[in-house]
Amino acid sequence: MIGGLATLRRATVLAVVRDGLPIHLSPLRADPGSPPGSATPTPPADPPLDRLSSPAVESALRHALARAPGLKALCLAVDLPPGHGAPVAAVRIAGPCPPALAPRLDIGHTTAPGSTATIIRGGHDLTGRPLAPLDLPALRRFARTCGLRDFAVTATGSPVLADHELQAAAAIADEVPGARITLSYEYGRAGLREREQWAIANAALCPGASHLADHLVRLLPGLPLYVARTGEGLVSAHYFRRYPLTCAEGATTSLHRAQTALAHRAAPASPRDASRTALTSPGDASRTALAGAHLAAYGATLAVPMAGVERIVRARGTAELDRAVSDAQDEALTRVLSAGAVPGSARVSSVAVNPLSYLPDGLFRLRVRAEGATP
Amino acid sequence: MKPHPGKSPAAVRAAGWETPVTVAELVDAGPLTGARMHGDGNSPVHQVRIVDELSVMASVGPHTAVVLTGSAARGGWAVEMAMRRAWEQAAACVIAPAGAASAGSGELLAERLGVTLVFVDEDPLVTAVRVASAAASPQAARTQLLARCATRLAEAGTSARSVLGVLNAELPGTAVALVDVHGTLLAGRRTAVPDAAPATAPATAPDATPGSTPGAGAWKSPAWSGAAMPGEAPREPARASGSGRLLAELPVPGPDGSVLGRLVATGAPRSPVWAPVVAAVLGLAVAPLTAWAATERLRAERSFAWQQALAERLLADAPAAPAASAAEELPDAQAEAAALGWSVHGPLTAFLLTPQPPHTGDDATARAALTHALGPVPVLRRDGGWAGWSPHPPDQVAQHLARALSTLPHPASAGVAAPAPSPHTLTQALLAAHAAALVAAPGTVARADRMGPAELLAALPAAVLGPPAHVVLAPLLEADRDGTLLRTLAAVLGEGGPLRAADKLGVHRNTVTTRLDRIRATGYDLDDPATRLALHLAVHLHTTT
Amino acid sequence: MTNRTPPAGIPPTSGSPSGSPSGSPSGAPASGQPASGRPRSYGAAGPAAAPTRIDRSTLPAYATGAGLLATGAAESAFALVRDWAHDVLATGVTLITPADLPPDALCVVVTLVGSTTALAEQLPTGDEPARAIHALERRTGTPAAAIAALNLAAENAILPLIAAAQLGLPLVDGDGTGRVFPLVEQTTYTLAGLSPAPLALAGAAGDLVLLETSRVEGTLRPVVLSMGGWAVAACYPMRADDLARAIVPGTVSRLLHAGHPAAGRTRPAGNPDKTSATDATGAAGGFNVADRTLAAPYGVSRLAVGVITAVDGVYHHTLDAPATGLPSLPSSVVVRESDGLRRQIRLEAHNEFVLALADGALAATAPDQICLVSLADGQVIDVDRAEPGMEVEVLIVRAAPMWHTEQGRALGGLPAFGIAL
Repeated sequence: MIGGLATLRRATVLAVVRDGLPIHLSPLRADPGSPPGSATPTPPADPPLDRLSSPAVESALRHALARAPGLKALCLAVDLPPGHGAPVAAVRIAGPCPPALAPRLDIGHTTAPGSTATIIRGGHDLTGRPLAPLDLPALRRFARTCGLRDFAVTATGSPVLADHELQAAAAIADEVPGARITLSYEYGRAGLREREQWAIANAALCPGASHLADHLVRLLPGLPLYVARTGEGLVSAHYFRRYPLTCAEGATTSLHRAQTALAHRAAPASPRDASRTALTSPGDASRTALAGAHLAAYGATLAVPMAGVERIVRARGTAELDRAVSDAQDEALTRVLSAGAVPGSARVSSVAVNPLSYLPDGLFRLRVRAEGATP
Repeated sequence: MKPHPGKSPAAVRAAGWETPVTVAELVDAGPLTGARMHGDGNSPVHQVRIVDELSVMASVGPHTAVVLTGSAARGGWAVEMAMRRAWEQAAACVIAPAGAASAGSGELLAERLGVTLVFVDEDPLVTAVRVASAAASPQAARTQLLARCATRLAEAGTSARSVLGVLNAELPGTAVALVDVHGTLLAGRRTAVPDAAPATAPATAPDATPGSTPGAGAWKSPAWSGAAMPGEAPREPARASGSGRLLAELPVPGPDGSVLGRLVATGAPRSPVWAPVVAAVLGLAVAPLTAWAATERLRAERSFAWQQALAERLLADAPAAPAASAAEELPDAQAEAAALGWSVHGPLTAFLLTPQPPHTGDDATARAALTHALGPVPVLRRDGGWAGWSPHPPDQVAQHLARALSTLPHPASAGVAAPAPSPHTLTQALLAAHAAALVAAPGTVARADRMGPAELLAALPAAVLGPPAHVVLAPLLEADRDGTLLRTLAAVLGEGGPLRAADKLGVHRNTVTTRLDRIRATGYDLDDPATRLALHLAVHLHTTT
Repeated sequence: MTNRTPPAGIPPTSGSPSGSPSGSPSGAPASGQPASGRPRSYGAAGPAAAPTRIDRSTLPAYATGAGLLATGAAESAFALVRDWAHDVLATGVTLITPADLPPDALCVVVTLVGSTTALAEQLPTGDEPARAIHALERRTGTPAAAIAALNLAAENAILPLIAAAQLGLPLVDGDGTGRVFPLVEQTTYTLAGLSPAPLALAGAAGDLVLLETSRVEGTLRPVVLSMGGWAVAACYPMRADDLARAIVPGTVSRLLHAGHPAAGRTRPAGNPDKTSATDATGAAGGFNVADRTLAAPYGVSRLAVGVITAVDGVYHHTLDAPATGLPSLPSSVVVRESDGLRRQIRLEAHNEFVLALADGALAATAPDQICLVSLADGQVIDVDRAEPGMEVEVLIVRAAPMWHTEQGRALGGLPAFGIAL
C-alpha cells in the first residue's frame, strides 16, 4: 500500500493505492472557490510548502493517514512554481566570452533578486586537458563576499572531467559553511550554457525544496517520502533536496501519467470518476482542480524510483569503452539507490552510447538510466 | 581475595580473542579511533583492500575493509558507488578520506545498504596498513588496546576521576562508570549506569565486610546490585535504557578487602568478544582504584578534621528528597566516602559515644577505638562526644560499641539509634542516639529503640531526687527495719504484680500479700496510680543511691 | 582533386575599380561600396530595390531555415551561435552575389571546424572569426572584401554572418556544398579546383594557426583537437570571379525565405525545383516536407516514417577498426517503417548519414543527403542523439548537380566515406 500526495494550486489530495488501485481518495484542501461559471481570477502561485503547512491540511493529512495504517511510502507530486527561487551565486569556470554568452540569472526557473554571477578561470577541454589552472583565490574571494548560500558551479568540460567543479565546491564549502552547492556535471549534458542554466535553476529551488522535504519528513516520521520527477519516475526526499529541478513539474507529469494509465488499462473507478467529474463540470474551477489533484496523487504512486547518468567519455578501444559504460551503470545504480530504490530492486533500464560527431576517435556520449522499486 | 577475570594474564588471553575484529571495534578502540562512523559496524573484518579505482571492487571478497584512495575517493558519487559495490561484495565497510564529497548520500546509503561507512582524517594508506594489521592479528590488536590502556592508567595516577577519564577516552562508544555497591555513580559517565533496578537482581549481596558478622549481608537489601561474584561468569547483561547493553562489571575491592564499588561498562556490543575485552580493560583499572581508596583512607587517618568535614558534608548534602540539582557535588563527596569505605546508603545505624564527664578525652583516641570496633566509619564531634554511622544493624553496632567503651582510657557510655532508612534521616537518627547515650549508664550502650521504664529510671538524676524520695518513703522505712518491705514493694512495682514478685523474691505469694498489707497499714494507697508512680520512682532512687 | 595555388596574387580590393557590382539577381543597384576599406553597407535604396539584409529582425527566420535540413538546431551550440549573432548584428549584414564584387576581390570562406559539442562546451571569446580572417589577410596581403559560407548547416550558416557583421563585410548568397559534408575539402569549391589552404584557424584559447598544406584534412584534425575540439577557420581565399563559378548560389536567401513563419503557406509560385514530396503532412515542430523543400534547392523526398529500433552495437565492432581518415566513427541506425511496407531502413552514418538501405536495397546514398527528422519536435536528429524508440521520418535531400558528376561522387559519394558497395 502506497500513498500519493498531490498539491496543485487549488487542491491538495491524498490517494491511498493498493496494487495499483486507489482505495481512498481524500481531498485535504479544495479551494472553496466561487460559484460555478463565475470568472475567478487565477490565484497567485503560492509555493507548495505554504499549502501543505496550513493547519487544516496538516490535520486532514494526519487524519487521512491514520485511516491507512499499512502505508509503506508516500509519493509527493508537486509543481515548483517559478518566482519563488532563492538568490543564487553562479560561478562559471571558463574563459572570457562575448556579453551575450555570459551567465544568465533571469531565465528558466527564475532566481530571486540579489543573484549574482562570476566567471573564474579554469576548466577542461573535451579531451580532459586543463584549459587553465583553477583560479581558487578568485573563487574564494567571490564566495566570501557574495553574501549568498546557494551556489551553482559550472565548469567548462565537466561532463568529461568534473575536477574543477569538485575543487570549487570544496573551496566554497570551506569559505561559506552550510553552503548548498549545485554542480553542473551532475546534469551531465554537454553544452556549458544549458548546464549552467540547469545548475542555477536547481540551486534557486534548493532552499524551498529542503523546507518542503523537512516539513513532510517531520509531519510523517518513519514513512519513506518520495517525490515525483518531471518526465517519469520518483526520487527520495534526500535526492529531491539535492536536485529539486528534476521534480519541478512533478504534479503535471503525474497527472498525465494517471490519464495515460486510465486510458490504457481497465481504469480504477475513483480517478476515472474524478476525471469524469472534471470533464462534466468545466465551469467549476475548484472541481476541475480537485480532479486534477486526484489524478496527480494517483499518478505519483504509479512511478518507480529512477535516476540517470549522462556524461562524455573518451575511450581508445573496446575495453576502455566497456569499462566506461560499466562505470556509468555503476553510478546510475548508485544514484537510483540514493533516489530511494530498495537495494535489491535497482537495475539498469537503458544504456545509450553514441560517438560524438566531428571529433577524433574515441569520444562518446553515454546515457544510462536505472530504476528500482519503492518499499 | 579471589582474582578477577581481567587481572590475570591467563584471563586476558581469554578464549575468543582471535575472533576477527569488527569495524566498530576498529573505530571504538582500534586503529580508526576518532573516525566518523555511519552504520552499525557489526561486520567482522578479515582483510583489507586498498581500492584506487572502482573496477577493483569486483574482486573484493566478503568481510573486507575497503579503503578508498585516489580516483575511487574523488568525485561526487565515488564514495556512494563504492558503497553500493561493497554491498554487492558483502564487504565489511568502506573507509574513505574525510574530505571525500558525499553530500550526505554516503550516510544515507550506509543506513539503507547496511554497509558501514567510515570517514578518516589521516592518509588512507596509513589507515589501510593499521587496519590490515589489526585484521590479521585480532588478538594482538586487542592486547595492544590493553597495553595502551595500562600505560595511560599508569600515567593517570590514582584518582577515581582520572582513572575513569582514561577508560572513557580509550573506549569511545562505550560508557564506563564507577558506582558504589548501591549503584550510585561515584565517577565516570552516568550513561554507563542502568537507571532502574533489574527485576532479576540477586537477593543476596556479596558479603560487604568480611570482617563483620555474617548476618550483615543478609540484613542489607541493597537498592541495586548487578555485580557478578568474583570468579563467576558475568550474568546476561541487562538491557540498559537507551545507550546500549551492559558489557562488563567488575567489583573493585577496597584496601581492606571489602567491596569499594563496581566498574560498569555499557555500550553497543561491538563484536562477540567485545564484552570480554572491555572487562579486561576494566580489570586494569581495579588496582589503581584500590590504591586510590587506600590513599584516601590514609589521608583520613592522618586528619580527623578532614574526615569530619567530609562526614558533615555528606550529612548536609543528603537532600530531604533526592534532587538532581545536587548531582554535581554529590558524586565527589560520595566517591570520597566510598574510597574511605563509608556507607552512604540506608539503612544506616547512627551512634553516639559520650565520655563521662562530657568533653573529656581526645578525638584521635575516640576515633581509633570506634573504627577499630566498627570498621571504616565516619567519626564526628557531636554533643560533647563522638558520633557516626555504620551500615550494620543496631544490635551489632551496640555490641561493637560496648567493646569500644571497654578500650577507652576514660569512662563513657554510648547510644545507638534505630536504623535510618536513608542518609537524609541520619541527622534525626543521631539525635536519637544522643538521647540513648544520655540514659545509658557509664560503660553501657543504650539503644534508642529499646528504651523502657528501666532505662528511663536509670537516667533519673539521683542526687537531685534523693531527698524528696526519702520523704516519700519515710513512713515505710520507719516500719521496715530490715528492708523486707522495701524489697517486696520494689519487686511488686518492678515486676508488675504480687505473683511475679513472689517468684522473684522466692517466697510464697501469701507472704507477699501479707507484706503489702503491712505497707498499706503505714498509710499508702497502693491502688492509687499516682501513689504507685511516686513510690516506684522513690524506691528506684533509694535502691540505686 | 586539384590544388589550386592560393590566391596570393589577387589584387587587393582597394586597387580594384570601385563601383557597384552589377548583375545581382534582383537587379538591385548595390552601390556605395567605398573605394577602399570595407563596405559598411550598400547604402540606402528604395524599399523595393533594397539589397537583402540579415539583421536582428530577420535573424530568427534565417536561423530557423538553417535548421530545417541540418542537425543540431536544438543543440546548445546553435543557440549559442544565434545569441552571439544577435549581439553583433546591430546594423545588419548585406547579402551580395559574387558578381556584385570586383572580379579580383578577395573572398574568404568562414566555417566552424571540429565539434559543435566542443563549441557548446568551450565558449568562444568572440574574436575568433576576426582573428582567423585577419591572419589570412596578412598571409595574402589583401584585405577581404566579402565572406562566404562553406555550408549552411546550423552553426555554419550563422558563423559567416557573425564574421561579416564583425568585420563590416557583405555576405555572399550561396555556399560551397548545397548540403553538408564532414570534410572541409568536400565542397564545390574543391570541385572547381580551388584549395582550402592557406587556412587560418582561431580557437577559444587564443591560439592562431595558419596551415599551408596540400593535406588540409589530415593536418587540420589533430590541430583542431589540440585547440580544444573546435576552431573558426578562414579558408579558400579566392577571387570573386572564382567564387562565382564555384558556389552553389542563392542558398542563403533560400534559408531566409524557408525559415520565415509564413513560408509554408505562401509558397512562391516560381518554386524552381522539382520536389518529390507528396503528402506534406503536418509534422510536429510546425514544419513539413514542403517547408523543408524551400530550403533544399534540388528537391526533398521522404523515404519512410517509422520508429528507431536500434542504434546500439555498432561502435563495438568498429571501434578497434583501422582509422578511415575521417573524423569520428561510423555507426548505424535502424528504423522500422510504421506504415505501408513496414520496411526496415538501415542508415549507415559516418558523422553524417551516408547510406540508406530499405530492406537491404539501396535507397539513398551520398552525395545526396539523408536526414532523420524527429516527429516529436521536428528537429533533424544528429547521429549521436538517435535513440531507440524515437519516431522519425527519413528524408532524402538531393545534392546539387555538380555532386552528381564523376568528380563529385569521388569527393562526396560513398567511396569518400570509406564504404564500398
